[in-house]
Amino acid sequence: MRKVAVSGVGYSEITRGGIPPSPERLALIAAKNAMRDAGVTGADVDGIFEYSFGYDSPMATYVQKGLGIPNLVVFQDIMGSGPSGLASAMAAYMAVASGMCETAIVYRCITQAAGNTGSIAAVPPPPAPGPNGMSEALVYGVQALIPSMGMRMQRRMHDYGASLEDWGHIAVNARKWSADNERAVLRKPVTMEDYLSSRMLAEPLHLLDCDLPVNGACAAVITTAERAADLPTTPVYIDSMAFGTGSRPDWSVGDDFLFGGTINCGETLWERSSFTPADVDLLELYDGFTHITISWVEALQLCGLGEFGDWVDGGRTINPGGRVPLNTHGGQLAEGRLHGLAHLTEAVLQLRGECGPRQVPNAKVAAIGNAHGPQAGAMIVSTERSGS
Amino acid sequence: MTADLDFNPPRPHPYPDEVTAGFWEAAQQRTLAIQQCGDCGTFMHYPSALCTNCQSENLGFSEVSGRGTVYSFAIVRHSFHPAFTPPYVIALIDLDDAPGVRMYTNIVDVDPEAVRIDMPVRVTFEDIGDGTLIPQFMPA
Repeated sequence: MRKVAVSGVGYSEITRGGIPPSPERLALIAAKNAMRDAGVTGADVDGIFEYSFGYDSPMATYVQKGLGIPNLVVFQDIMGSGPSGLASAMAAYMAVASGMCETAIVYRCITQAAGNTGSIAAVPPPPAPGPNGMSEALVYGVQALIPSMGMRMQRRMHDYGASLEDWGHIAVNARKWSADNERAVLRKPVTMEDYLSSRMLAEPLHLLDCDLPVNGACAAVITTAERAADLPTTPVYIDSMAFGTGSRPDWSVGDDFLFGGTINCGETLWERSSFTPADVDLLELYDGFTHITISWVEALQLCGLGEFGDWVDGGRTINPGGRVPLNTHGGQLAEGRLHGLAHLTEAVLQLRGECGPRQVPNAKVAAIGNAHGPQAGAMIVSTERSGS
Repeated sequence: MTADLDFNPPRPHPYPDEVTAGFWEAAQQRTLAIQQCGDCGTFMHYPSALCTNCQSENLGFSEVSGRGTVYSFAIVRHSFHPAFTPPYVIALIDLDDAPGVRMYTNIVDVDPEAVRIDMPVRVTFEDIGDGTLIPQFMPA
């Protein structure tokens, strides 16, 4: 296996509303910015990996054409059952580490319309085919994930004595960080009182437990450590990565309803890593719903299962200036839903020391977790070159 | 059944296929039947094309008592679909006599505020508008 690094990151603008956006333009702008950041041209790139629901993001070969890449020796359009946008970077890691390609572009583009589908907007649902939880749930008025996340919160309160404030700390923290992130769509602070009084969607789940659909894209350039050393940016090495599904995986009736595959994913990740949970300087954990973020904190062993409420210490642990800063861009709750890949690109910028007023001092190791249920994925990145 | 697909979509209906039909056909007879392996006895829900324990294809549907307990629930307060009027309760039920089986349902004939985890419930069947019956649960 070859050592792999992230050498560049890039974004489109992140917006809401306006005329319908072009996913093709958003993805190309993000990818072009990532290539400029890394100092590579189309001739240097030989792989593309992208994750999409299908209609929200252009396919790899379209982006190849726009970027002037003469040929792709590997590419993949990854569908929605993987660990959100991070799946694109995980696939690129495997391709570069194994020698299947030298330099890959990864991107996640998502539009507000796609993000709204199945969320709080009332939209005509798809039919309910096939034996799986997502489809049968439709028969019972369970559209997408909001009600099932509400059920997870209810059960977590029963099993662990969790309080609503536990999830509230995730929501409040997001705005503390986004205040210093110019990309973020929501930058106005919210208080615990705001969280608790926000609209109830699927009791006990509130509106402020949910992320914000936006129009936008982010991208990264992933290459060998050898090539990264010759590029202008500080290399951020991919120390380890893992998937996790859990047994009898399913979004609603899998064996572990509260954590899905995140616990298995965390165990595999630390087995593969040259670091330990105590080495983590910052956390970039998926926050499509606040329940998911808490699952990841515990699954990545920052604290024991059910111990988040004590660990978070009224928010002090994860807030600016805290011991283990969390979602330093404001996450999807505040920056907007770039669907997982932005947790990696923010980690890269933090480890490179380029985050200005929200910079975490001396950050060397970041942990990233994506998605939940039967499709968990995680990664450790660091500016320290360790391992093979 | 007619519906304006843009503004007034019909309530989602079951969409039985060769694996799941046994469950929905039993519901139409006001019976709760859960898929069970004919070789090792494992119960499965949602129905599977292979036994998830022994990979047998010898699968059938066995009638169960329809009694269970609430594993978790949420009170839906927001309209996610025009055919469902909030508030309503969605829940996951652990069945008493089908070990390992947890199923989606609504809890009906109950004050939503009165629902609790571990509450005993029993099956009932709801006509969702055109004679199609789906299993629902109510306080036991």
